[in-house]
Amino acid sequence: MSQSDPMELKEQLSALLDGELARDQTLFLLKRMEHDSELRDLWERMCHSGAALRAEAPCGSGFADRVQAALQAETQPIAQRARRSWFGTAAGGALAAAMAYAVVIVGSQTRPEEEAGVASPMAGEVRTAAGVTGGMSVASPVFNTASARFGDSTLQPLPVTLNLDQYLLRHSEALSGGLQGEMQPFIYPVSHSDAHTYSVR
Amino acid sequence: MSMGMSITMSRPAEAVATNAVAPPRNVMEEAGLDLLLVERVLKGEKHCFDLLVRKYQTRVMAAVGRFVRDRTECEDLAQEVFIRAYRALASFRGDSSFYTWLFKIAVNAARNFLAASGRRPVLANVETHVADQMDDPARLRDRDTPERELMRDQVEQMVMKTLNDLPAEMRTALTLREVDGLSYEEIAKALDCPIGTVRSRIFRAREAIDGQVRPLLED
Repeated sequence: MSQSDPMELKEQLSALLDGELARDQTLFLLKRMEHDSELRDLWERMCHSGAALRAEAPCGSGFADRVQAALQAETQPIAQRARRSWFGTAAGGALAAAMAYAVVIVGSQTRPEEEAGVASPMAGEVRTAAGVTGGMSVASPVFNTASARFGDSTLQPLPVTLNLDQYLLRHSEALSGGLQGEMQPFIYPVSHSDAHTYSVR
Repeated sequence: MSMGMSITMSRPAEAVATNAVAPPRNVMEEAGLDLLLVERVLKGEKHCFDLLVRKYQTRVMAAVGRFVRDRTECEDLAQEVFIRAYRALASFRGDSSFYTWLFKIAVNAARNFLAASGRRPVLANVETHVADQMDDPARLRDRDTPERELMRDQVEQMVMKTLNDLPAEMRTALTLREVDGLSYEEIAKALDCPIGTVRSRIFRAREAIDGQVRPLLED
């Protein structure tokens, strides 16, 4: 703290902690705290003391520093990510809808072949792509119907690995901007081995 | 008050309710401050997120402590909560308080953690809205290491001793703020003094406590 009146600065910090500082003073103090570790430490000690008054168990020392260190790796600007997030969700949903439509069309066109037991490689790819794209569950009636029409033998096996599973979950989370506190859809990777699970009999 | 403090008084909020409505003051208020901090983080000022971490770390620890028993796991989870919050910060709209939003993340993280490890929560059937109102912040006490427990007890005793040694008006102002969560305006009405006086009393009380606690926390 290098200001000539550190006590005034500390009093402002105390008021800031309580949300009782005017906006311009708040902005000034926040800017100052960016480079004043002593003020930041005082902020934390005041928080600790308040927690002690409320009989809250404190975190171990250095907790905030560890969080900050972990966040150093987070280089992507958050607001920018958020803008991409809704775009990604919309794009993913549109692509999934288009794929679903393609499945229905292809299914209706290939029905004679299907009844003859001829495999349609494209069908498997389309279905797989829609499932991976996210935004639509493969358990939906459209896909179940399509699956029933094509039969399990028409599906092309998709290599399913733990890495793929983790990727899909991360992808889903990224599309929906974090999902905390919201519904968390789970995307099943479509593979030859478990495709029959979602078929309508 | 949840901790048997020696201060007893009538609930000031009731007295406040009977007073005439005061003109709005040009202050941020706590929810506004949190929202401002979030906005600053989104504009690239990472240190503002650090302030949020320092402000809410104990409450997040208490939140995850309702699900997970081990203290180390609690701290790891709390860290994960803040990282998730940081990543999802743009989705915070200020519809609820920042802590409510953070609490939901904490509950989800704790549940996912338990599901992944095939365990049940410490408190069975803890629902978000119930857990949010549970008043047991000291739940983690019995899981501390002896060293940490000793340090925490020393800090708490020092805070309480210093508080009790303060002049009554300072002690009351700080308690109404920290424990009862009243605003400066409400405290001023309850104590019948100017808001500037409230601000000064609270600061001086904190300053006195900090002088005693600082050596302990810096060890």
